[in-house]
Formats: sequence, C-alpha cells, structure tokens
Amino acid sequence: MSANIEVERGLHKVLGPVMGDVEVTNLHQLSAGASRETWSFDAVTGQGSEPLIMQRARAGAAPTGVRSAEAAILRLARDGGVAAPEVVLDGVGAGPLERDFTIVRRIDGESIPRRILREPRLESARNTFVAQCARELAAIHALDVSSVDGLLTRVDDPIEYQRNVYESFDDPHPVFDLVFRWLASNRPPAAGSSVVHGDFRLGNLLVAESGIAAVLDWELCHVGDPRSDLGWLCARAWRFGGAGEVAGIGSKTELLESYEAAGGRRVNVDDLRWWEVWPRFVGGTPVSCWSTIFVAVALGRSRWR
Amino acid sequence: MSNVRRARTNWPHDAPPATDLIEAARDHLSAEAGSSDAGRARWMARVSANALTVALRELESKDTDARQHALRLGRLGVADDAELAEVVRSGGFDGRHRQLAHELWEVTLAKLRVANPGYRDEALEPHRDSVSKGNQT
Repeated sequence: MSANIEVERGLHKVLGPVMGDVEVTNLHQLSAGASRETWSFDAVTGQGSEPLIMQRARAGAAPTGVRSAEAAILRLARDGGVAAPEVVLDGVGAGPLERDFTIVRRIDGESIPRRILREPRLESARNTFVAQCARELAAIHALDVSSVDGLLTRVDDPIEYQRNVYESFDDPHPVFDLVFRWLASNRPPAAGSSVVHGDFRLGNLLVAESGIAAVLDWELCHVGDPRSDLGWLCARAWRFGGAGEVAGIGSKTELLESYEAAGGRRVNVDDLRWWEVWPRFVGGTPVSCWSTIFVAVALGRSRWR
Repeated sequence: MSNVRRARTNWPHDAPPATDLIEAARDHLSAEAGSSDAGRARWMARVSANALTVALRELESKDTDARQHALRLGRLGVADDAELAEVVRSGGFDGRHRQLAHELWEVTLAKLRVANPGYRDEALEPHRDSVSKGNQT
C-alpha cells in the first residue's frame, strides 16, 4: 500500500542522520486510534536490528507540539523509574513523516485487555497486576512537577475543566449537569498536584508474563489531582468483562494499600468513588462516558443533593 | 468520506448516529480487505460487527425512545434537553430531586438499552439497592 511506502521513506529519512546506513523492514501499522497512528518496524544497521515503534498524529490533525511534549514526559518518567517506553527520536511539524512523531524502542508484551484478563500464560502477571499498577502510579505521581512546567496542561479545578469540555460540545445531556452538581457538593478536600498520566488503564498497559512491561499512551498526561488516575483505573468501562473493581482484575483495597506502600498518599474509598464519577469525555463524545453515568446514577438517586 | 458536517446530537440517543456507525463499519471492512495482518483483520471485523449491532438496536427503538423522551420532558416541564440541562445546572430541580433523578435514570437506561445492554442489566441491580436504601432514610 502507498501509505506504507511513504512511511518507510519518511522513517528512512529521519533515522538516517542518527543511525547512519539504515534499512527499514517489517513495517506495519498496529492501530489507528482516534487521534494517532502506531507503526511497528525494525531498523536494520550494520550493528544489528532495532525493534522500534513510531507514533504520529493522524492525517488531518493539526501539528500541536503535543507529541514533542509526550517525548519529554516519556524521558522524565523513565528517569523517574516508571516503565515508560524509551524514546529514540522525536520530531515536530511537517518533516519527512509529515506530522509530529515519536519513535520508541519496541517492548514485547500484550496490550489487548481481553487477553490480559484471560490468557493462562499471564496468570502470574495478573496476580501482581494491581500492586504493580499502584507502584507505577506512585512513581508517576512522585515526578517533579516543576520539571514539566509549561509542557503540560494544568487541571486546577477538575469540575470546571470537564464542564468546559462538556459545554464545548454544545450537545446537552442533562444527566451530566446533574453529575456536575453532585460532584460540586460531594467534593473531597484537595490533595495537591502531581504529574498525572491521564489514561492509565487496560489497553494502555503492556503486560508480559513477568508483569507490567510498559506504561503507554501519555498523550493525556497533565498536572492535576493524582487520585484521578486511581479512579480512572477503576472505571467500569475499563474492566473488559473482568470481575475485579480495578481493571477487572483486583480490589480497590489492594490498590489503595499498595499505592500508599509505594509512597503514594493515603486515599480513602469514598474519595476514590468521587474520582470514578468524575466524567471523562475522551474522544470528543460522551459515548465513552457511560461508565460515569452508570456509576453516578447507581450511586443512589437519593444521595444527589 | 463525506465532507458534510453532521450535527453532533443524535437525539434522543448520542453521537455517533446510525449512519456514521454504518459508514464506519463499511470503512473498516474496506480497510480489512487491504490488510494482510490476520489479528488486525479480526479486530476490525469485530469492531465493525459491534457497530452494526448498535446501529440496528438504535434504528429499531428510536421512534419509541423519542416519544418516551418527549413525555419525560413534558413531566419535567421543559421543552428539550437544552432547557432541562440549563435548569438542572442552575439548581432549579433541587427541590424536585427525586423526580429528576428518576427521569434521568430512565433516560440512562433507554440509552444503555441501545448503546450497551450489558451495562444496563448490571446497572439495574445496584439501582434496586439504592432505591430501597433511599426509601428507608
């Protein structure tokens, strides 16, 4: 296909200056998400073959510099002990790859949620999954906020932030207006700001037999309340048929205890619930928010005051 | 792909509307024809099948859902979702909380019946619990 040839040429051009005489092989597209494409390939040089991943904005998405910020965050997170992919090269704007891109070293592991939840070979990874999530999140939340100054969006008022997103759709859903009222009157005390991954859940975690191999998809990374990552990991939408409260795998108690043991702050279950209800309008429509409505309404109609 | 900009709303359900879902499924299937990766092809086929299933449920119940939603709005004394959203936001229903929550619960179930019946079935259990607890207080 012509797209492959164009990408292959582009990769060759950007990798040449850093890797020298390089050949791009085994190029194929892994996924086409809402906002970007993921390509897998090997860069073959005289020294051997490097397994790599290239992600770039989808065609039509305006260059925003977000990819470049993501590369900086990946480097910072990796230095901070987070299992973030290792950045090999990144670029912004209309270069040989046409749009903002990041190239990282490819890591072996499973990202498909249903396989992570069910495959017998990942049994031991499932047993340690919740504690490992807690450790990764504690490490992310311990990153130095001042070192990402200007790179990341700050979410100081989570209710106002999501209300603005909701209102920008100009597509009224009265249940969300009720959710925002509930959130405003049941808000837990502020817990300070951290670097927040923003989309830490099954689907964005690479799991190998030995456990979590990589934390992927940092494009929603921001500075905000660290408890939002914990709530998102427990969201109904991301359990993929699994029975556990945390990613379909484990319990909230284990998550919160492991998080605190790994250096995270103490979080109580009621506060976690508030963050589960906090709406997330991923993808530009409220469709992915059914879990929020579901949790919010199921919380008890009598408690909405 | 069409350049016609569609309205975001798909009242009384949510975006994307059935036409977009069917179009997406068609596009996925076209792409699958050009892909040699079996895993990716399987995934696309599954996404496509799911999209078509949702689209069909929506088409089957849309007229009934629209009528029932209009009745709900009438009971709440508002003309449309925009007015209801505005009144809820400004606290106009704080004194009629139970009625509002009941109607919005029914709205949610109707939407889930189309978008994700599994969530709906699951949601019905905690709902019964919360109602009985609510009645005791």
